[in-house]
Amino acid sequence: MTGPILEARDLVRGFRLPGPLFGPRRILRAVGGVSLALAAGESLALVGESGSGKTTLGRMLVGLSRPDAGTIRFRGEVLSGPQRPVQMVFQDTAAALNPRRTVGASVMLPFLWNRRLPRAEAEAAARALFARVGLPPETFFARLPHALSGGQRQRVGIARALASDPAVLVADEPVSALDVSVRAQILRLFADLRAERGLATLFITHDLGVVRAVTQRVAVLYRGQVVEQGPTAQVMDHPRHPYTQALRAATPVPDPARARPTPPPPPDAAILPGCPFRARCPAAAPACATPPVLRNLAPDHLISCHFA
Amino acid sequence: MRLPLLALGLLLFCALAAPLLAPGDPLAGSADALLAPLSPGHPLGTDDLGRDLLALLIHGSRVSLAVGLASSVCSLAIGVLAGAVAGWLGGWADAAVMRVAEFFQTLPRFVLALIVIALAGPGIGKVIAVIAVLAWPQTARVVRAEIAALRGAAFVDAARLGGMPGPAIVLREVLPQVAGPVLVLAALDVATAILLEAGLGFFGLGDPNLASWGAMLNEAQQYLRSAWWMSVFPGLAIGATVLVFNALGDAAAASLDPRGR
Amino acid sequence: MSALLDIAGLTVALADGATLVEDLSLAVARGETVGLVGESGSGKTMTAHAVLGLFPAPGIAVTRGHIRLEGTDLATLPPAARRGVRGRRIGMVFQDPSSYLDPLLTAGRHIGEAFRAHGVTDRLPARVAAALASVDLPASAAARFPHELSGGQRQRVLIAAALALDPALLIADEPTTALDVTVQAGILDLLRRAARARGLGVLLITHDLGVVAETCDRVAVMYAGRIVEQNDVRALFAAPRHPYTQGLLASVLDPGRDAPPFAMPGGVPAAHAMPRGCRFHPRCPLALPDPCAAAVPPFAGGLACWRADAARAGAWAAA
Repeated sequence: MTGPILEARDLVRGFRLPGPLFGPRRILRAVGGVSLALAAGESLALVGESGSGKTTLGRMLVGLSRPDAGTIRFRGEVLSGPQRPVQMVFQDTAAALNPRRTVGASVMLPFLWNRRLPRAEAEAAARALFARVGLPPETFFARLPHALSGGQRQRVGIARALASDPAVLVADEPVSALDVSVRAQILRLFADLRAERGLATLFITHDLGVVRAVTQRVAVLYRGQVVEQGPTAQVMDHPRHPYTQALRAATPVPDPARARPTPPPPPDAAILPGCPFRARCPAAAPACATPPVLRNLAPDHLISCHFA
Repeated sequence: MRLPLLALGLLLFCALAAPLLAPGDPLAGSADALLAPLSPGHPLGTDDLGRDLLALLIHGSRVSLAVGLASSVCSLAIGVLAGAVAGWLGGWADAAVMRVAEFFQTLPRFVLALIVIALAGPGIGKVIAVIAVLAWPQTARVVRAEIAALRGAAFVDAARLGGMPGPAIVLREVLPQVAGPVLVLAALDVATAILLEAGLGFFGLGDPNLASWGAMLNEAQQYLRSAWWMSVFPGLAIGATVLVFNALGDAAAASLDPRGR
Repeated sequence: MSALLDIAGLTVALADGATLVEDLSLAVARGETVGLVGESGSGKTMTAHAVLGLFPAPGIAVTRGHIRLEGTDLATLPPAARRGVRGRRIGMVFQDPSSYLDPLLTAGRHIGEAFRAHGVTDRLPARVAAALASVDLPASAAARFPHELSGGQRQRVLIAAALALDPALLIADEPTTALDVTVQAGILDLLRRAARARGLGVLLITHDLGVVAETCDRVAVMYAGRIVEQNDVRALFAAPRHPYTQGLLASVLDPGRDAPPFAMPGGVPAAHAMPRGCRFHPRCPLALPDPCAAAVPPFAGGLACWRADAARAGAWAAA
């Protein structure tokens, strides 16, 4: 067995909050000691709600943001800054494309810089990628981003990521801004590309439906910490952490006969010491004042809870 | 877009072809036609030295445009460079650049220009330099704000992941987005510079060897009642030119919006 | 029983004649929650704008049909009376609560403004406290600024303001889309309770079928400006009849099931490029050159489809 292609160890990242003019500034810990490993060709989901730190984590993994502590290794070598083999697909398809450049030029960019191709070759390669992601280049290559639909722009975004010939793709909520019927098309494209190129993919999402549809493994993030990690089917069908259970139960289903159970209390501003989920947890007990450590439930199933 | 461009063309044509267009040497007066009113021989009349106002006006456009355009280009260059450095790098570089910019912005423009010219002696090059040095902070501020906002844009992140080095990203991805507001500012700078130059000329600090609209106004002050043409025509020329550049700025901004195409 | 809101034959068009909503008929009764479901470009939000009499851009207008609220044709009202109807008789809640709250106003002031705008100025603190209580927020929330509230709490403040004057109809446009799922359920539950307790009619506009399933009594599915199917919520989810509805339901990703994502081909057409005939026919697996591509299917029995019989077995079975 070979080692992971991308490995993060004990990543920490905080942000300084705008604080009072005098006195100590508050630091918000967006990511508090996360370790993750992604095997070649594997599809891993990173799930969490807003404020869980999943986007910050994704940005560190592609080198767009520097961790305060911890290391990221690609094929065993420590990464610092953006690298050609680790690419990203963005959520906001409009913001991710230069509004003044044709979408063709945006896809050519990595060919010209990351791969140092001459212009003519870069254009030919970019056109081929357009065709691969389902956009006929003769129609779309010379268009500006605003003349494309959201789904079409996301195809361009995927083509641009592929242009660097990556081994790892980090996709940050790649379908959450898309229409339901288009969403599935894009997810299928991801699945096909993964199979065809052996791409390891990290899906950052809040949507458990997306998790189940396209990933094999899932890591659940709560307030900057992994609270549960395991095979997707197992975690979805038998969630063990109270937070995963709450998330799973709160996911709406298109069936009027099945009602959602009452949700857990909403997140509270107060951060109690100990388990990060303590303030909302229905099973919270005095023991939760000591922070639980991530431990193995099974060889491939990790959990951070005293009671699971 | 058409009208201001046409007006700009006309202005440039006047300035470039001044010797061909103007009736005679603008600085050569004739003693027999002092303060002559409008007549077929002097369509806009003459001044107190008997110089033809039309000739002065046409030659004056050279000075105004040269000062306006040259100082605007200089302030644009300094401003974009300073703003890009401050906005892209942030941190202490940002703080340093912006403190320097603030220093120049707090200086009273006109007074400083007066002092410099009075001390260093008149000359069109000095006028251009003074105006450029005073005008760049505004451009720098705009560029800095836009670039700082774009620095975190997803398409900039994408360019970094695509292997583009920082300076290339600034130059090719970010600065073109700023072109609209910067061009508007540059056009306004031209207008301001023309006004400032006219003001200096009005105080007698222009280049005495060149015909300029400001200098014409300076001489006209004594004859406001007796020879209205001496003040009205240069005044109109300054006003119209300033308006043309303001309109150009607006038109440039509108045409650079990618959604408008 | 006469409907609270009665929309008949509504057509909304751009100045150049392109239609954003075409021949839409829909009714909402007192105490009923009706879901208007569709993807972007379906015209669902434009329908809400038409009811409110506020369009987001100039050049958009109602060109045909009428909208009656409590028996009054809204189009015949003078502008001042129309403004009175908004807020007093029709409450509104939108997707992004942050952009509808003034960052410099406390929640209490914001709700207070809703009263003041309609001339209610007496006993304001008590009224605001009652409005906050009705959305399960403590009275202390009145003193909070928007940035001190969570996304869910902000949406509750907006709902409180929308319901402040006890309107007959609430229009909720994607009220939970920007919220986390664990917060969503609470907001939907609130809307459901408000409908029941006040006899409020709710027009819930959303793209999320899960939200519809748990909140609505009736559903209308829109595609490219037209309603293609309308039914009781249980019947629609149990047996969707229109190929588009079937495809939409099949596209929902279920975290409890291993299944490859189902994708309908193509995308929603733009307002200026509407296909002739049935607007769904270019994407429909059952479409025939005639009549589907030739004539607009009539809306009858809650369905607008030429191939209703063939669709009964499931339009996408082969796909």
